[in-house]
Amino acid sequence: MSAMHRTVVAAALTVGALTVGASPTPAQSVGDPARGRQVYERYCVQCHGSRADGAGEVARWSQPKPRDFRQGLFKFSSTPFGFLPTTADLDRVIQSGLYGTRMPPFAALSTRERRDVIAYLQTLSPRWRTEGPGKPIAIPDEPAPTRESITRGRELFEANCSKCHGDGTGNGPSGAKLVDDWGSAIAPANLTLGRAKWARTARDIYLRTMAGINGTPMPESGDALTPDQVWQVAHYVQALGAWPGSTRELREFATQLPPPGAAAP
Amino acid sequence: MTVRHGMAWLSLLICSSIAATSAEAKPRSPSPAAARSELYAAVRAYVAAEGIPAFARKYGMKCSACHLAVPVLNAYGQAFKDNGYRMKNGTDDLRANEPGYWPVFAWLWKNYEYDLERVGGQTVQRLGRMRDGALVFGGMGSISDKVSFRFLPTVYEDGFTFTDAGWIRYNQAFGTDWVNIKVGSNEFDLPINGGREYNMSNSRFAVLYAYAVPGTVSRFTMLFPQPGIEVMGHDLGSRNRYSVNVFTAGGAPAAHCTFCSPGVFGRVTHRHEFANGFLRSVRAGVFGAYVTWPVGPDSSDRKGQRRLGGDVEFGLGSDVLPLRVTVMAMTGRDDRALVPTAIQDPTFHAGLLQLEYVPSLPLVFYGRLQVVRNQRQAIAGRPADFGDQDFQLVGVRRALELSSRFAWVLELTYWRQKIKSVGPGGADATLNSLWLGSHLLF
Repeated sequence: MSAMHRTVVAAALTVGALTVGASPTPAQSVGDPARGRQVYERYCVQCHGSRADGAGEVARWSQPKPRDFRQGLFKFSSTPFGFLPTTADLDRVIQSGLYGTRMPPFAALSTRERRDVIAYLQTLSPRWRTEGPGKPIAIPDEPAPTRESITRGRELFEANCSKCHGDGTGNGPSGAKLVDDWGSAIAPANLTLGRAKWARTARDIYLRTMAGINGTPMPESGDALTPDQVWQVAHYVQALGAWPGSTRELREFATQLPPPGAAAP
Repeated sequence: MTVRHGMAWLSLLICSSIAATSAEAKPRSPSPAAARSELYAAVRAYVAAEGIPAFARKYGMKCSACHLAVPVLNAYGQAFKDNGYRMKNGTDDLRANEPGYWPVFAWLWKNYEYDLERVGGQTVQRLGRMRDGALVFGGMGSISDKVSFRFLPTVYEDGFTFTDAGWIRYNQAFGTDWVNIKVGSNEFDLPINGGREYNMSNSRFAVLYAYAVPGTVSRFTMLFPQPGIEVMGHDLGSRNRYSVNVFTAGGAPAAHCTFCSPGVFGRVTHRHEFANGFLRSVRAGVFGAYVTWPVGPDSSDRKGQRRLGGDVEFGLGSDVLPLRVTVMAMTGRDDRALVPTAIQDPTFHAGLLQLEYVPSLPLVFYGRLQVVRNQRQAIAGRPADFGDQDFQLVGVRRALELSSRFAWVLELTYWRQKIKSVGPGGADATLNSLWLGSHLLF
């Protein structure tokens, strides 16, 4: 091996060795809105539009519609219903995308790119200047899912969720008539698929149940359910499909329960 | 005559297949058909890797989402490619697309080239001409979450058709991104892919991967896709990646067997992004290849070639509109049996410095310096620098239109290549070229 070759390979290996193990970190520090605009122009403008009004070139083929960032209304947040999301909430949607929609995951973007584009998004609505993000909802430790919690979760689901979500597939009697705040028809999530647009885990289901989904008919649970009851609902939903963290035994147990709404006239 | 002359240069640049055995000999002029087949092979390599507006249509994104500047990939585009042309977002299945989507595309191009050729300081050729255009009509993408594919028939203006740039890939074998299996005509995961050059003229033949030692009978080059199997893997975001190709060298004599020229190629890369400072990202990688080529009266004996290299790419100033600097070095060694009348194994070193600058979308400036130095000549009596190459290229490429529906790209490139001691009396041969290209993809 020649000296030149040894030098180059050693340099490459050194750079690699210095950086191995590094992984993207949450975009939490303040970004540069001007650079964020550049990121937006490269990756986001086609759907969200050059005016950030959600009216990009392909918006007419998109359902659900891309966000109009001027409104400062974001569906998925760790904050209470109606509050602005945290930077970490926005970063999660950018990194992971929204499953089954035109919002793809941008995990390959650098921390700085995500940080900058979030800073840019936060200049687009006056809400960011007057309100600021809400305080994230506290999530208590998850109790272990049991047959009892799933049985109780089914009852709560039937009382609170089946009107829209039906037996879990989104076939509730009210499901076909739902519209979002932008006037578009919106279907209840099919919870038997093992994942939803945003949610992946029982913790995510807990948060969505507690906080609802802004701009849609999915309400926050408010005082209607205690944290323990929300965990029971989350465990039942988890057992409806092959969600991460669910067990085959509990999924089989859930199938033996009468489906929610079965007793309804 | 003009085509023949151009093809002679082309052959020289591709493989340095200099027929002469002394410094007084002239560059070999291959038959037009043979030289043209080399051009076709190169265009096929380019087509096999070129970004396709079909994806922009399918996912509703601009070409610039995946390309630093068409056709060069950025980190996001690399991750998309590594995922088997999938977003992994529940929208990759053809049935998931609304409105209905067909994974087909078309690509047309037409180019003008002006060449000035000098040997020993004397101008021997001035030539300006339209270069062959082509139509590519193919399909690529993901059929389901598990299966991706590519199929690219290419029709040239002279009616010649190729259909071999295709593969099928099984995604996420064993449920992990670290194992993806691809069968077919695979491009190697090179630091600078011959199929993703800004300039698609024969300047790309000067890419150092295509260099072959003077006089070798081997036609193998890492630049072109090779038939075989690729296993590759990556992490989320493709910051750490590997690929291994097991293949048979395309174009090798195959009279006595169907897998006559086995070879293996591998590459490992790591990319790191910096949270602060002018230095935005560093990508480092190493690659290597070992391939055999048939020799002997009945092509039954196989002799080896090996290539080994490393590269570092720096992203400066901006992630979105960066100055990108790539430094690469490579070394090669061939078995002496691949060079008739050789007395020793030939070896060479090669190095490259490339700059890319994107001041605004969709405009890119690019430049490249490249050297190839033969360390040890295979044939006795040859000058030490026989076949050494110096290559410089500068250019600009701008998209007149770049939407989710189609792309129309113009490029203007100048390059200069010097090949040492190959002219009469050991004179250097120099080629200066100006290239104006137009591409329409939809």
